[in-house]
Amino acid sequence: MGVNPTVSVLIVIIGFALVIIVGSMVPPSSARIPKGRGRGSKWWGIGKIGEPNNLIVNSIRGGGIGGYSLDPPVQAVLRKKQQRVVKENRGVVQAIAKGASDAVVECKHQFRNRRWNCPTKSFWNGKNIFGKIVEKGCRETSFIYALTSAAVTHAVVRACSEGSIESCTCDYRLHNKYSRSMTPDQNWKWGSCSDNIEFGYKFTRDFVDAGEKARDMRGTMNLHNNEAGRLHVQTLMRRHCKCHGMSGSCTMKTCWMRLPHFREVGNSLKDRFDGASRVLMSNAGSLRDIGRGGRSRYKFQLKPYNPDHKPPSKKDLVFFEDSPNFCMRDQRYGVSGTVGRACNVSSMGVDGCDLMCCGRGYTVTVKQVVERCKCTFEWCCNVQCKNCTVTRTMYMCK
Amino acid sequence: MAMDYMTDEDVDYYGDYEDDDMLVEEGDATYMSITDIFKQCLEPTLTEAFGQVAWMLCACLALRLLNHHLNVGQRVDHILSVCLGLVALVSVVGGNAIFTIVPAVMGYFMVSTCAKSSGILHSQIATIVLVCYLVVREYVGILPESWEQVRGIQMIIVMKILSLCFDMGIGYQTTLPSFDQYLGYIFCPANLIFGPWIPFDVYCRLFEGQTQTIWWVLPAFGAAVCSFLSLGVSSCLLYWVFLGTQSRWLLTFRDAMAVRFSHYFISYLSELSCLLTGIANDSVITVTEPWRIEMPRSLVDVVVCWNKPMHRWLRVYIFRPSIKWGTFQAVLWTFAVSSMLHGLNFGLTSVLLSLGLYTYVEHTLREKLATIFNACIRSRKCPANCSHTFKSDNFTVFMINVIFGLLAIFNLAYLGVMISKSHIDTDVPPTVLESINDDLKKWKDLNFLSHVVMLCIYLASLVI
Repeated sequence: MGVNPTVSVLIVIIGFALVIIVGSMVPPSSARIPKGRGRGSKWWGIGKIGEPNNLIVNSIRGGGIGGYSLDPPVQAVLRKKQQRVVKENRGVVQAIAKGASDAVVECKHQFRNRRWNCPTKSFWNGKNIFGKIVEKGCRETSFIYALTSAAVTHAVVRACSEGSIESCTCDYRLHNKYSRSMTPDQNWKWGSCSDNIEFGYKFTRDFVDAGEKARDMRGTMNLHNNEAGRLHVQTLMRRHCKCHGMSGSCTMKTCWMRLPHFREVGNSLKDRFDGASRVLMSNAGSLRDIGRGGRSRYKFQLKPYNPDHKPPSKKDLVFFEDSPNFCMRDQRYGVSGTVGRACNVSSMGVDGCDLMCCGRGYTVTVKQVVERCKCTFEWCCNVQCKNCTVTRTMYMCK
Repeated sequence: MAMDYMTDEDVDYYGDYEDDDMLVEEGDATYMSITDIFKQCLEPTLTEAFGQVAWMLCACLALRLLNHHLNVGQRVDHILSVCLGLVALVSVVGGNAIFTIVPAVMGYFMVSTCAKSSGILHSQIATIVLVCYLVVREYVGILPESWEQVRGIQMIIVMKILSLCFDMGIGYQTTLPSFDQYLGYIFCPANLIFGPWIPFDVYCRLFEGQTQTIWWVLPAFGAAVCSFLSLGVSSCLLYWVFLGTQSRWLLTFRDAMAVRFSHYFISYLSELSCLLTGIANDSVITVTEPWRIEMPRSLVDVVVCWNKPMHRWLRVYIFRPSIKWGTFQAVLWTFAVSSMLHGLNFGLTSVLLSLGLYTYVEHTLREKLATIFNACIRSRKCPANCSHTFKSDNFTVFMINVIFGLLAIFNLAYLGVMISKSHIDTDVPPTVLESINDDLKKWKDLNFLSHVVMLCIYLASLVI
């Protein structure tokens, strides 16, 4: 081509210089609380867009393969790469939306009795639906990332087996590719739709991790937690097998993979939340040299904050900052505090009034409530109930 | 701040979460819908099962087509049968096929020994040698899962060898079959893998070139539908029907029913393979009659209908030759051979033993009642011209038979649960003692109720 070699050399030199200058201007990551986090996690909002499914269905039905375009509200929350992978896999948007809203429901369920009860806001007035708490690299954030990643994996796998994602077809060839995460079992052939988990896993890696870079601590943390979420779904897949043969022998065996209920995944992640590992900020420095892209992006080993602890495993949740105490209203993190929250007076746990109210004490209200009671079943098919007035004692944090 | 995550500093939680996530509770499937079952279970299960047997069915069809259109002489036919049989075998069990070849070849020496002498002494000895071989193999020198895979196949091979031995001892078969004829019989793809046992002469007639119309396709199609329908019921639909069931007895019933339908699947599959090969003799290849097992008249009926060719084999080659020792001894011997054929495996043996006792109790009681009330309530259906006053069309007689049928259903659920295998893969195979314990626990959980009930019935029948 007709480009002058000197010009190209010059461009290269200028490019290098720019990289060096910009690199030196970026403060050391350990001293930086990343601003504007959630660029890669805005997609959470998909779950909250108006009547999301209708909108999305319409937008998908509207276009052919060439003219396939995303709905503007969907487009607004997705990064370029995310838009690309979504376009490549038609029908996947509904699954992501389902995953996002599943994640919100599950998060609220798992944390219903804690000081931080997973508050969400409507998506348009903030950066993301989980609020500012995700700007901090704390335990709750680690859970949110893992849970949302798990939810998308779960929803995509399900959509795959229902056949609503075009690019994910059941591969009926027999193969044993996935012995990595499943029990390797060479004697028995199996395959078929069971392998959708691989698609879900890969897709979620492309989609959810699109906005994360392993260059700073926070990005590493997100990548690790996203991966942990996916792994939880993968390991909770159950293989159900059945033997067939003459007189109870096992000449042939048929197996199928059962996707766990998302509640199981939530429970499992909540366990990890309770035992999440705090890791060292200095981890970030050592990660810089590790190549980007592809699988190597995930090859890092985080060092635990407490040197006596084992390093976190792939399925552990990791964080590196203290959580706020969630007791009082705090605008910085979008925490509304526990004032006015109901608590359980007889519990010693996190839902007990001592911990929930942060020592501020609680108010006792006695209410007369009318309830249906003494219900009897009348043949057939009527249920007759009486109205009883019950005295309920409510405890609320001051 | 004393904001405490309860578990934070003191507990070393890392170790706790490593391996415990492989544990799972059965019966947590309460959320599955019929579409879930269809997409997640039915579709993969059926496709996978079909993928596993497709080669076998092709081999059967190939044998039929080559046999009818190639007309190459019987010798080549037998060699074809062996080759296609081996193809089918390898396609289903893979490398484990090797375990079946040695006994099959060795069997020829047994058959030729039997051919040299008249009388059934040699055959009886062959029986003992072969069933002992099966029992030894069950426990020695072969991985349990490999053995599980080839056990049924070995059983069929042993049955074929013994039937040849006896046929020659009795004089039904006069000449020793040639080696290729013998191997063709043993490795015939139609019944090598899933049975059913067929007599040698039925196999030979396969190559006598009778003309056939295309209508064999219809029963074959029927068998295929029944077969895969049973598989669907056994693997998926039953679990959907009994979703969220907590009652132990209903779960027992479900598991036993799954075992039975898995058996129907195999039975119809073997019928299909016979039809594809060209063995169309109904009395030979009708393996099972599900409706007579699901709605039984008596346990005796169930035993007879469970696997008809097997039943016939036991009657002709084990029971009849030994009847001269006395009926009770013959029954005992038949039972022993049957359970040794199944490898003297604890679960199966205890089921067979219980079945033997149950049928005896049921038989005596109903025989007595039939005499007392002069009614058609015996274990087997009365012939139309029987001498009883109250025939089967009498309402009370009908109700009594239904009650006995319900008793049989209850017993079947109890016995069947012993054979049902756990549904979740475990990595470590249990030791012999552990598996006996596991098996016994299944009945213990049900308080041995069926055994107790049958004991009571037996005592009652003594009093009558």
